[in-house]
Amino acid sequence: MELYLFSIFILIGLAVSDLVVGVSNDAVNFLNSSIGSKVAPRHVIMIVASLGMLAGVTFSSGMMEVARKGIFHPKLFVMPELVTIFLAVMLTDIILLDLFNTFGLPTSTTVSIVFELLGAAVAVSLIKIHMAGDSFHALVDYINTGKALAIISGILLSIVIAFFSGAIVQFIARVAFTFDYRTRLKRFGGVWAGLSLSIITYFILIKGAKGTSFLTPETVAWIKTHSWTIMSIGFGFFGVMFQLLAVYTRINILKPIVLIGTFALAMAFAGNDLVNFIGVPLAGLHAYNIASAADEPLRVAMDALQKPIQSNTLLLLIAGIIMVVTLWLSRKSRTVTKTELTLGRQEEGMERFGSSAISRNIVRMCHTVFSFSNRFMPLSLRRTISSRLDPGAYSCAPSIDGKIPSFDLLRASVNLIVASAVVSFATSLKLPLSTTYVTFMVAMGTSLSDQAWGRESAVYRVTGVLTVISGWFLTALVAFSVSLVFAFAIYFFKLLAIIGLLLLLISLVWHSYRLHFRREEEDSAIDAFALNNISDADTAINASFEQTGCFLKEISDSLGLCFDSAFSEDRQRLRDTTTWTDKIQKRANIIISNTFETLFLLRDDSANSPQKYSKTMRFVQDIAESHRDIVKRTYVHFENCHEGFSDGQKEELRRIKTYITRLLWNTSIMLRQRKKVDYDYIANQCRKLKNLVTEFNKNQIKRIQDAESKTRLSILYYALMENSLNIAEQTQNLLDIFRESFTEK
Amino acid sequence: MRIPFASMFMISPFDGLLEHAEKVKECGWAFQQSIECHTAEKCKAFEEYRQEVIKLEREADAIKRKIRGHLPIGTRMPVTEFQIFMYLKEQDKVLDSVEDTLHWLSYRTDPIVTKEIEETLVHLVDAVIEPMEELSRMVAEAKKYFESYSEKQRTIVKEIIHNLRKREHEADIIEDELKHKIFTMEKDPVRIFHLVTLAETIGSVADHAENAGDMMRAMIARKKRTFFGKKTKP
Repeated sequence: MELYLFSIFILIGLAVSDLVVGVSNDAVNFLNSSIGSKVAPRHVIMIVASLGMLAGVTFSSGMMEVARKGIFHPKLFVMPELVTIFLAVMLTDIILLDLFNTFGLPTSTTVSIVFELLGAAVAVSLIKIHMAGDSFHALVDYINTGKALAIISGILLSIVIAFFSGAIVQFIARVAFTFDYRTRLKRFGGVWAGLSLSIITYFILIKGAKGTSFLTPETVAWIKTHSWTIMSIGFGFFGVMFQLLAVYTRINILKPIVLIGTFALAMAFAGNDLVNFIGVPLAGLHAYNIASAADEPLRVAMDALQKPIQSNTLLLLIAGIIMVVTLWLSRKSRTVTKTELTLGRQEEGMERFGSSAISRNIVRMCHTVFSFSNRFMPLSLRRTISSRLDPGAYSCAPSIDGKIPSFDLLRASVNLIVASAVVSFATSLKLPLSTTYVTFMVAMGTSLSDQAWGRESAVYRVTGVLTVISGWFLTALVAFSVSLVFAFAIYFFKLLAIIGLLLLLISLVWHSYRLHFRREEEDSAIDAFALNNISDADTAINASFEQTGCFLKEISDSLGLCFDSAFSEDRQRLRDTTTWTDKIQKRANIIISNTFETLFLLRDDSANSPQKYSKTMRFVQDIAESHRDIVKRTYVHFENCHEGFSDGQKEELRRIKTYITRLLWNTSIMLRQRKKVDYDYIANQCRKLKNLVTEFNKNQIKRIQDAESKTRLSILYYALMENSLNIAEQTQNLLDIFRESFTEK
Repeated sequence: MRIPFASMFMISPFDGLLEHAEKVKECGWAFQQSIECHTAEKCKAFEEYRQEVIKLEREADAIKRKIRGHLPIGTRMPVTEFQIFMYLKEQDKVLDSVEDTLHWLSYRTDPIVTKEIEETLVHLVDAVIEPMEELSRMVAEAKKYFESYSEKQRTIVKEIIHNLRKREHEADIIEDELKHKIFTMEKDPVRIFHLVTLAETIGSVADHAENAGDMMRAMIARKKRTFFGKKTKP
């Protein structure tokens, strides 16, 4: 029994960790709309969400059916088997959710817990069947297959429904209110507010308050049978109130709608998803208590878990507090939210995801379908709709922090209304669904309707959406298989497996923390590169100097690594350099786009100014391309197992490396620290490099004549030298332009 | 002894060493600029560069003090605090030599008359800068080694140390060549004394860089166990 008591303590510890990783992933569901539209300062949004969560937790009765009997039949298991299942589930859940959080991908905590329970239950059932000598067909007796299948199909269906509902409602709302919605809101704002808040209120009642202790089952039944009455009264009441507010006050009525919606979703999340985090450990504790009270604790069947139990309110409140603290402090939660916001952002900018063949084909296909269907639409209707859906009229005002919101309040309210409506509707029909999948797909549907996915960004956004969706399928697969393996391990190796898996968990969480930290640093470095929030020309120029300095330093470091790896024929390092090159290329693109930004801010009419900027662009591009050529060629050469450099070639290339890295580093220091440009020193280094290249060219020709160097190796050798020389020359040119700017400023 | 997971909770002193080595590198370039400036006729910026070197040396000193004052009690590697201090001392001596060279050079403001001596001097400076640059790479790679303890990484560090020795040897040859030229071309004994000391001080920059490499070699040496399980000194 001591082992199981120890396991229960571990389960409690894991519950706290699961709350942290779970909230980090789920927070996006209720924060997306308000943070994306910047409806209020961040702390106000967080306070509203925290209150919603605390309300949800406090009023929740904490029904933990899914963990206890939703997936398997507890009467067929004994306590040690259940503890094995629960431990496997919790360990898998933390690893899985933490992994998704690290990469900023939203996923469903419901799906993960369901599939983990399924995987672990299947593992233990298979062992039991094998030991009893039964046929494996008996597995269906142990697993609640009907419920499990209903959950899976309900979730898949909700993804499709949510996306199209979001797209259609947003389309209607945008046609009705247009992007310049403020004036129209004064006329029809009451209708919109009535509709929104009646749906949200109904959502609170059906989703948030259905399990509360203060509502009797009769009241809940009445709410369910009088849905239309509640909605109609709500529509009338809120409609009139908000119409009066819109007409007689200067309040933007969409703001309270979005904040109330955030509160409602946070409340529903806390009330319903809590089971995903603490349901399993509580079920484990319950199983242990039942077994302890029995004469044969290790053999008593767990029939008692079938009966409904009321969770301790204090326990739920503690869980709520942990969730609120996590909401405020978790950096990973911000990363997950950022992913959803980036995918739904109205404006163009740096895209997080790249392009893929599938996304390109989807975008092309959609484009063809729309072009074809446009032929059948009357021209006048097409013109009317186009004029009302013209995002060019979109001039979203900056929020209090001076930043432009990702989307406007109208879209934020549609996101909340549609998500609430879909969730309420499914709940009233007793269809299981994932709140995460619904809110994400609604957000994507609304951004599609708002033409946020223009031709400049559609491919990248579609890749992002496909990545997130494939992550959802991966969640189910990984949750099932990992939990299955863990359950096998714990069943057979007991304490040894538990300790081993705990160590594995700690190690993985630590590594994911470090990875996330690194990714965050890289992201913030790239964010710092963009001049989006700079409105002053001098600051923009200063930032440009610094950015170019950082860019040259990265090129220098990367080249150093590439040359050294080529000398030692280290393919792994060359692969790392190739990855690094992509990031450097990204930076080069930002610098180039910043050049346009600076040009716009300067509004300089002097004749040489445009020429100066076009030159800067060309030089930066040339440096980046020569650098990429060096890295890619070297990588391909050694990846194809071609011959390495001779000692003589190595010595020559080492000297080239020394000069080029020195030149780049020095220029970088001058630009970053705004030191006086010692142009002569750089020119001197460049001249020395040129002389070396001429001298080494002769040596190489001799080597070719003596058949000492093979063709491919000679091509690589020349590529390294000529590209290095090109980088040096372009750096010198770049410095020339900056020197002019220094003297001008 | 390498304790699994222990590195998760400890701060590596190599971060500080790397910062110091980066300063050495930067100082090296300022040094080269100042020498090139001094040899160029009518260059008035020599004093500015000298001040720049002094500033960088002070910054490096501050980093050195920070490392000494904040070295974690349990370092994350099988090296003693003593070895770290010795390495740091040697790395810092590189900067001291650079500073000394510029001070020495500033005592005589008249230009170096012979063109040939001037060229060899620039060549010598170029030769000693390379080991200075290699120091930061060596520390960065050593840091990676102490994080992974991979044999491959150790080999990389060893190669850098080997390269440092080679560069130091090349610098020695150029130094000898320079001294030879000084004695054959110069007649003024004061000038000879000044130039020879200058060559020796410049040469000592590479010597200290090589010494730092040797310290690092000791740090990354595999500790072999004796029959009774006691570790031998590296």
